Amino acid sequence: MVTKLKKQRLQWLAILFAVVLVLLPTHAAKADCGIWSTSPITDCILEGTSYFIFLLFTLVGNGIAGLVGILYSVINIPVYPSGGIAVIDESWKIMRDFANMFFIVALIMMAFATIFDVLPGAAKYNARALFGRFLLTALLINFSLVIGVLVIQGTQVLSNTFLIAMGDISNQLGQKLNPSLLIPKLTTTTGYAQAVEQGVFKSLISLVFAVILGATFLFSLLTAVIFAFIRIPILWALLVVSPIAWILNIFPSGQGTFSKWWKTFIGWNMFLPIFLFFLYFGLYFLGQQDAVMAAIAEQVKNQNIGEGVPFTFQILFMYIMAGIFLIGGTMVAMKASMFTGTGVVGVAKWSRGVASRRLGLTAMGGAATQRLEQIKQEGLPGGFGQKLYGGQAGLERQTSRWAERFGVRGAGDKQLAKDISFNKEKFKNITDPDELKARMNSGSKQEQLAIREIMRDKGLLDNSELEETYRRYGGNETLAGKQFARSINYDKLSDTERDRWYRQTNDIETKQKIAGIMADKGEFNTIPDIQNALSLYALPVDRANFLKKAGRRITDNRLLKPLMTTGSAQEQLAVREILADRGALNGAELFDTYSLYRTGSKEAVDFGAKIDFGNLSKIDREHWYNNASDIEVKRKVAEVMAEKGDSGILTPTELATAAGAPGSPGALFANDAERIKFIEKAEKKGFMATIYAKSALGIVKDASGTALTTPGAVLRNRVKIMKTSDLAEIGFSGGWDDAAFLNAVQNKLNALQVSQPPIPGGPPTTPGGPPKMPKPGGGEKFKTDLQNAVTDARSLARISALIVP
Amino acid sequence: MNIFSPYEVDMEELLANQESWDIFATKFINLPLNIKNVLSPSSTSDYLKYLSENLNLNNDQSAELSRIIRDVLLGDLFIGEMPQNISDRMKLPPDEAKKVGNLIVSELFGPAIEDIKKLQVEKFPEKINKPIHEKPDLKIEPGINKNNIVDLRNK
Repeated sequence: MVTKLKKQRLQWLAILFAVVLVLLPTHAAKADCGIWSTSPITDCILEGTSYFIFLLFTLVGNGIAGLVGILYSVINIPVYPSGGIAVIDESWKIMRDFANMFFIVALIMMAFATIFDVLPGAAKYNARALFGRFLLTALLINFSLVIGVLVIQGTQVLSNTFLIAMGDISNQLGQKLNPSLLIPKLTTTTGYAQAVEQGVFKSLISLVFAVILGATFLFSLLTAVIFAFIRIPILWALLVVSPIAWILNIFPSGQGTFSKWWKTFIGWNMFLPIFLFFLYFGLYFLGQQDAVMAAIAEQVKNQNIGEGVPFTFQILFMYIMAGIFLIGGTMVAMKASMFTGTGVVGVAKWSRGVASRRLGLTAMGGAATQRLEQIKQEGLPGGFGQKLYGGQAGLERQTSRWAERFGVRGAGDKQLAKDISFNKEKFKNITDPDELKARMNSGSKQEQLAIREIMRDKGLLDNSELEETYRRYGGNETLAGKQFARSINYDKLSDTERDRWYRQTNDIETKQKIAGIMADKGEFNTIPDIQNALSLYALPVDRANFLKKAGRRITDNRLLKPLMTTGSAQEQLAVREILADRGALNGAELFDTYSLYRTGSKEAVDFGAKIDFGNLSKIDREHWYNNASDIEVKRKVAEVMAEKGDSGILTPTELATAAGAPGSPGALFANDAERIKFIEKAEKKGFMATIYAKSALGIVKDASGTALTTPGAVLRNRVKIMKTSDLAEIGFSGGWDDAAFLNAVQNKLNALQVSQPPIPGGPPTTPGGPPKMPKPGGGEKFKTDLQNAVTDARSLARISALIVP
Repeated sequence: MNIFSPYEVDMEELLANQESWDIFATKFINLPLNIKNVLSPSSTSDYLKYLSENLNLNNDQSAELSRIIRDVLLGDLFIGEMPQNISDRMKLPPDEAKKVGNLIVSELFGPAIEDIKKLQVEKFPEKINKPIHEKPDLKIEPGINKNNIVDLRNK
């Protein structure tokens, strides 16, 4: 690709060189500049200078002459000759036929818009709005070429007016537009040299102006030639597409395009007459130069040197004026002919942009600015470059070095961190691991460390490379080294590598980080190791958190148990929680743990709530019940005790006390519903006790809301609403062996047998078929279900003895 | 006493003797619910009453039939020996006893037959797992190498 570009440039250079050679003047060699000269050096300088000026004027002059000839030819080319242009005519016909198809589309669209006139936005497409324009376009589209040609011919008439008035512009411009008049009428380079030597041109500025003026004429003419030429194919193209522009005029959304077409078409047509007007004016101005010259000569002939305005300057001014007319004429022609935003100016801007980009000027400019900024910041590249100019970064480094010398602690580290951060930003786009690997040992120390940090972030450094980087930072001795060690992801290292880091670093923060990961991964296998790591933490909360992690990995509870009585309460609790989760604490140890929490704290309640009191002994449960300070924990223990039939909550009085009378202070239960629910937990172990407790508290109400205060009423109510399976689960003691309870069950059976009477059997419904079997009553079914559900032989005897009426 | 109910047929005697009751109650409590639902409900006694009437059984025969069914359901009697027991204890001809046994198994035990089978296997493993028939000898003509013969029948 690069080679191809180079070849193209070489080709362009060759063409340019050939053009320059053609335009170069022939030059007769003179012997004045030689060893026989009286002052050979001065002569040679004069000879060289004069030849250079002669060369420039000749180049510009020949260029102007050539361009004038081309311009004359181009502006005389008819855009659309009287006989027509076959390609335009035929192309226009194709476009017209194509455009005619859209009349059908327009008709359908109008029809639909008229039918669905109620739809928003349809009104502007209906027949009433479009039909007039539709008819006009249908007519004029067939004359679009004729109309376009009329416009072209109209502007051509205008152009012809100026062309006739100007006559042979190449002759006029060639003769009149001659900046060499600014130089004495000498035909040889020796003459120019003499003129220079004799000091005819006292001011170098006059010479420079003459050259610039000549070049300005040249470029002005070049622009005019280019635009005068390209307008012809553009106008042809506009003529060809004119039917499409006309058809678009029918549709509301296409009217903008139609008017744009006209604007462009008129604009390109008007360019030439306007340009010719200014050219005519410029030529007219130049045509009067003899009179102006004479007037200037008359004024300066008796003038002493230094008085008034010099002759040369006045001529120069006149040429500047002429130049303004010519260059300005081209610009005004472009703007006045409505080219702004339509084409020419855009084309000019685009061509300038393309040229700049083509030559790489735009990119070069941007890159140069960026590079300059970079140098300002980083200084010159390379070691020597840095010594010459270190940029802002160099200045900061120097400042930090001096700050270190003056004893500012950490100034060097701070600067190193800053440099690395800067270099990381510089290298952030390098993502190829191989490239990173190659760079991690080359360049400045800051660059190497930056690359290594990038690699660390991407997980591309193995442990040995991490250790090497750590050493390069200065290891334990520098803040940067410590910071690097802190930033390592130890989780990804092997256990031996982690252990190595743990032992080699003396940075407490790094050690804590590694210890945390090692604790998580269970790499502290012994209690002394854990206690050793524990010394890294000073705060009880940190020590407790570490113990929580490290302790979970010690699977032998016997090893952990000694830790539950050492250290702060938080540390003890950390170990005790692990043991409690494993069920390794007895009731007393659990209660001690509970007591370590702040009384009434959420932690205490949460711990109590986690305990499975059903697995504790009766004595431990009773201890908890009597000593737990939190109502939530006490309630939970009481419920378990009631379920288990523990002696502390077994009798009617104990149950009623535990449930608490309504409104009593320190009650475990908030309302009667909770109290009833609690008491009924004791039904399996002491059904009748719960009946007496409930009646004593007066908390049971019947369906009508009346409080049931006698044990008999409470018993009947309860047995009536209990499910068969719940009744079957009631224990023998305090339940099925109680006469009052049996009586209540018998009453329920009787009531069910009455409410759901048995259905007797009958003879077969079909001869020889099975007889209709009888169906049992509700009471009989209730008894069978009780028999099937009960699990106690003694209770089954009582149930079997029940009589079905 | 309800002579048609396998559960209640000897209830008075059982309740009068604590030891006998405990044995019976423990067996009953541990039965699967499906078997309990055959043993104790009134629908069973209704069926047995209907059966007794159809077979013209007297009260003793009916009570004995209830006892046989109770014993089978509790796992005290092997179900395969039920026809023999019916014949012996109810004084019925073997054919009729077999017919009664089949009727009871198909019409009364139906809903719990799987649980009854399981119980019977558990209680009478030696009676359920019959000895395997001996393999018939392979007749090999003299002069034939035994190694060249594959005995597919006894494979």
